[in-house]
Amino acid sequence: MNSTTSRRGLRLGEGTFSFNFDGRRYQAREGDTAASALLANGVRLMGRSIKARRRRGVLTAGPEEPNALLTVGDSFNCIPNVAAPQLVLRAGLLLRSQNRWPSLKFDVASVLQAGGGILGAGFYYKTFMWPSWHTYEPLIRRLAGLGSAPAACTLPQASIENFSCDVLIGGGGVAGLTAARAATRAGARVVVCEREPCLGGEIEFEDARIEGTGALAWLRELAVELNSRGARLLFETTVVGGRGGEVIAHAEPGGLAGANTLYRIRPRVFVVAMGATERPLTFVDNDLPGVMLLSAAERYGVRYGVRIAKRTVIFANHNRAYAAATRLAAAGMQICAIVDTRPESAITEARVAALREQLVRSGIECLYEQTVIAARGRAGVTAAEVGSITGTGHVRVIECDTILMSGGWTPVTHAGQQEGGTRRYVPDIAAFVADRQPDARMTVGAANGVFELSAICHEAQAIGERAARLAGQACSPVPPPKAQGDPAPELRPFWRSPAPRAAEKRQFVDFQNDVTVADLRSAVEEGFYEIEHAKRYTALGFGTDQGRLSGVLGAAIIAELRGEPLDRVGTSRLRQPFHPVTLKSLAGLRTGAALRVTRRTPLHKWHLAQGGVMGPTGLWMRPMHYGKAGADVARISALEATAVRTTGGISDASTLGKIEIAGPDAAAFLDYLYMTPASSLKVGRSRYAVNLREDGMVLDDGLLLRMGSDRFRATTSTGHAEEMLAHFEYYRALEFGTAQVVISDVTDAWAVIVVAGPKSREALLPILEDPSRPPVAALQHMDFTMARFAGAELLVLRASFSGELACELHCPPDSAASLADALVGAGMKPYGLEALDILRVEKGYLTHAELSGQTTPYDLGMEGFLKRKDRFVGSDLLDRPAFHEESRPRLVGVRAANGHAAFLAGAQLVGREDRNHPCGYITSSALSPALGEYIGLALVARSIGEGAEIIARDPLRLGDTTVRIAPIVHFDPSGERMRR
Amino acid sequence: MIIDPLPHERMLEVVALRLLPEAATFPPEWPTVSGAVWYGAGGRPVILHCASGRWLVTMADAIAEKLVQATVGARCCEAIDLAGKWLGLHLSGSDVKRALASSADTAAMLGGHDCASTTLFDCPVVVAKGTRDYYVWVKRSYSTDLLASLREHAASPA
Repeated sequence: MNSTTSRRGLRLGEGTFSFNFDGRRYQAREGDTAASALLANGVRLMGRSIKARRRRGVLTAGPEEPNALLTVGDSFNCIPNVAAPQLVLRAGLLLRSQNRWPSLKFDVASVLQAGGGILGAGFYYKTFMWPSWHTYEPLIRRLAGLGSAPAACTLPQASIENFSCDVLIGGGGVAGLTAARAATRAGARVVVCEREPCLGGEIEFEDARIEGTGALAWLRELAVELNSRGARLLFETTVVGGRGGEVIAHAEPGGLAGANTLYRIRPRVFVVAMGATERPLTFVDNDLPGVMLLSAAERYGVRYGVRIAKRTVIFANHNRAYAAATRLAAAGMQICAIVDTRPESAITEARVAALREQLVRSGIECLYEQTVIAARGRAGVTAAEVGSITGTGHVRVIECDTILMSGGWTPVTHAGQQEGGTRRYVPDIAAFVADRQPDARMTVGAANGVFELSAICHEAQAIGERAARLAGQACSPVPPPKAQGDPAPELRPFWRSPAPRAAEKRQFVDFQNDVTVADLRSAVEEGFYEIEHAKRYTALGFGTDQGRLSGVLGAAIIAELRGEPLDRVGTSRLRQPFHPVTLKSLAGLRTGAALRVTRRTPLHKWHLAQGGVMGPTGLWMRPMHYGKAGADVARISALEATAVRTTGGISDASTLGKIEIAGPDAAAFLDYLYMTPASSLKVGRSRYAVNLREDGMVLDDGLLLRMGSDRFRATTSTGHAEEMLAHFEYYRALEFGTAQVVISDVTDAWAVIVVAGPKSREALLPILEDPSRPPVAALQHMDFTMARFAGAELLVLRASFSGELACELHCPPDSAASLADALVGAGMKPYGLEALDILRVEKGYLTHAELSGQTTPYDLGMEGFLKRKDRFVGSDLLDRPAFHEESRPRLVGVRAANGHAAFLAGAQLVGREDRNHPCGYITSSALSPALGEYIGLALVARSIGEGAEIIARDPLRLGDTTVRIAPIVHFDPSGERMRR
Repeated sequence: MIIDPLPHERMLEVVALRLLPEAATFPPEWPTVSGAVWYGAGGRPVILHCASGRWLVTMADAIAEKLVQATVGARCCEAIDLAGKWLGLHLSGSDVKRALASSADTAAMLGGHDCASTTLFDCPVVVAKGTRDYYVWVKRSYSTDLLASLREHAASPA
């Protein structure tokens, strides 16, 4: 049956091809997964466990697979941790097992198995302590982790799609599709996300009938109907998370991180129909290759025609074991025994009793109140030890090559819980189901703890209709489809077989993280008995399966160890994403240089043409200096600054925030917003202006220009532009709601070129159109006027941030490059942000380094602006005592005491005697070409006066430097140069 | 997707002086409902009510000029010149929706409206419906990034 060509399965095509696993070639059929093909080729050993390096085979047939995780590709270009049951093979694929060296069959680190408990829960707190943890750290780090990251990320580009719909249904099984049918028939726009490449879910291997026909045929017809009604069916797409009404679904075609799509869906109603995950049972050596979930064996048989065993023991605690055994036996598998943990009397349904009778007649032994005590074997299962669930009496050994186990099902409830929903314990199914859900979230089918097909159809029909109504569609109830499938489970909770303490180290609960009953016992005994603590202490529920297999099982065993009911212990919170999603999928096309949005000034290309070395400041790209990248920035910047001081230069100030304020109440509004009044400003004049926050701290500074009697333009610092606009809008709405004033962000509307230097006027005037020259020539400091350049209108403002004679030229963006060219042609050289910083530190002008949101007007020496009697934003709190305490800092200038030593911004300032207690810090520093020494600005305790010498401590960069407190303005203190 | 830059033209932002202006103070053609658009010749959006009490006016139509004069003359609004602030794009072709959906579900976001202020690919835009196409005005400093994103998404496989 397992030959490549003769296998028959629902998912198999006709073609055959070869693939490579750990250096050996194997044959596969079109449609095979890595797990099915390897099983068909007789490969049972597919991986090693993470800590003890125990041999592991495939446990499941789904994405929750904890053992058979493979690396696809070579070491340079590979994808690690691909679940073998999900990976659809194609010709030539290169697969490697993980967590082994040098080979899967012989792994050096498997010697750790002999160490027993040395890698138990919290081992890093208890072992490897002598002589030092660091002695062992390299080895442990080498062994840790799932798989290895590739040398380079060469994954194909992923894409993101945002869309909305009326009803989103997660899961394309009978429950989801019945709900989808009801909703689409009511006229709702429906989207179904199904993680498999085809619809049906568990129904694929049940002998189910719906509306008198085979369930699969019914589903095929239903898919046609859904398509014709405009429903969107997304295959190989799993709902992995969501928040705030947005649901995230991830499409991973072929189970391989490739050209993936991340769907960000905004549904009006979200119906979770993602089924349930079958749970393992815990017995000694339950991790041997050959121990598998019962449903997995059925799936491999039905989907891929793989008979996974010759002789098997079925071990379960519910009715479905009998239906499954019947099907597996019919498929040619020899069932040695059904080990049922329940008493015989637990089987009440006639259909199950009949199945059991039929199985017994065919020679299959049914054992009640029995359990698999242990699996026997080394490289794989060779026998099962079976005994009483009480741990007493005779233990039988049944020879077999597989043990198929089923401990019940855990409903998939992550979608609601991740958004704040709660879960409740249902004893009848020994599982947690969704309880309180976020708005417009519903759960249906096995995901809601309903496992019988007819009940599922009833519930799904009602949910589908309710979802349609919630989405605004009129909907009258219609009867649900008539269905019959496998019998109800009649499950009785059973979690682990009795075992002596020493054997608990081999009773595995979480296969992926090697968490055993002994680990859980250790956690409880050491005080980590709360489920979230136990999870973190033992790693229970970590990794790619996120506790889907082990979560409830582990919680139940902790409950047993604590002697408390399971519902009191609860389970740990499920986290996003539901299954592994590559970071590349989350980013979509926004990777590399496009990772975040970038703003460019109208002069961006011009800067590049001039040799500008661009750097990010916030979202903006600005020229840091001009010349070769990597050149001596300090030297180039000093030359640029010197050029401004000697002849002149131009810089791009387009990034300054610009807000236009207009209307009859504009002046009153600005009077309230600024510490410095606007109403006294004359038209054509500008003023340095400072904003405070409500708490009295300085928010920003800038210039206010009065453009007309009721029209102003405010400039803000680059870094605070967005915040200032929000600040304006807030007070306009909150305190000027009835006033007549408008606010508009005009930052992008105007490019700003600053022309500065002693010869800047001579450079500017000739390039302006004739009529503009006299008014511009007559401008006094802080005056502005309109002028024309090459047909474009400019606003020429005489203001300076360099201490030189300077003008800001506000021009249309399209004219900026030609204006800059004309100024360069007139002898002005461009200077970058580094030079600008030197110039402003020489003059003691402030930037975000000083306006940090933690300084008051008094700290910054702005008392002169505080003569107003009327209220403005922040004024109410200016008199609070804390603002006037001696411990408050004050802005000062600093220079090296010896006149030449270097110091940098960020250095802490300490007294010469007491070097352990900072008395301030340096906010800005520069090597001044005009003064030939390092200068800076600092915030220091008020008690330290001018002339005092203190230490600038900078242990990671320059060490200690003695600095002297100096006046804030280092250069041209009278301001004569800019008023020329 | 075909991306056509719109010709550079004068643009104004018309802002209501009061937070909740009365509709009666506007000319009858003025789109007073939030999200409404007054379309000019050829179905081009001309006056876009892009935010509460805020209109983006592309002066591509002579009638628009008169409407703005009437509105400002009625002393219910101020007009602010934004000539360089926005860069206009016309997006057409069968895959426009898909490309835009990489950033936002534009159709759903607009809903029953004709225009909205929003972000596409993290860039602030005003987006408006055309007949079977979209018009997007992006803040100039973001335009290079937006164009790159649109072109990349237009080129990516469906």
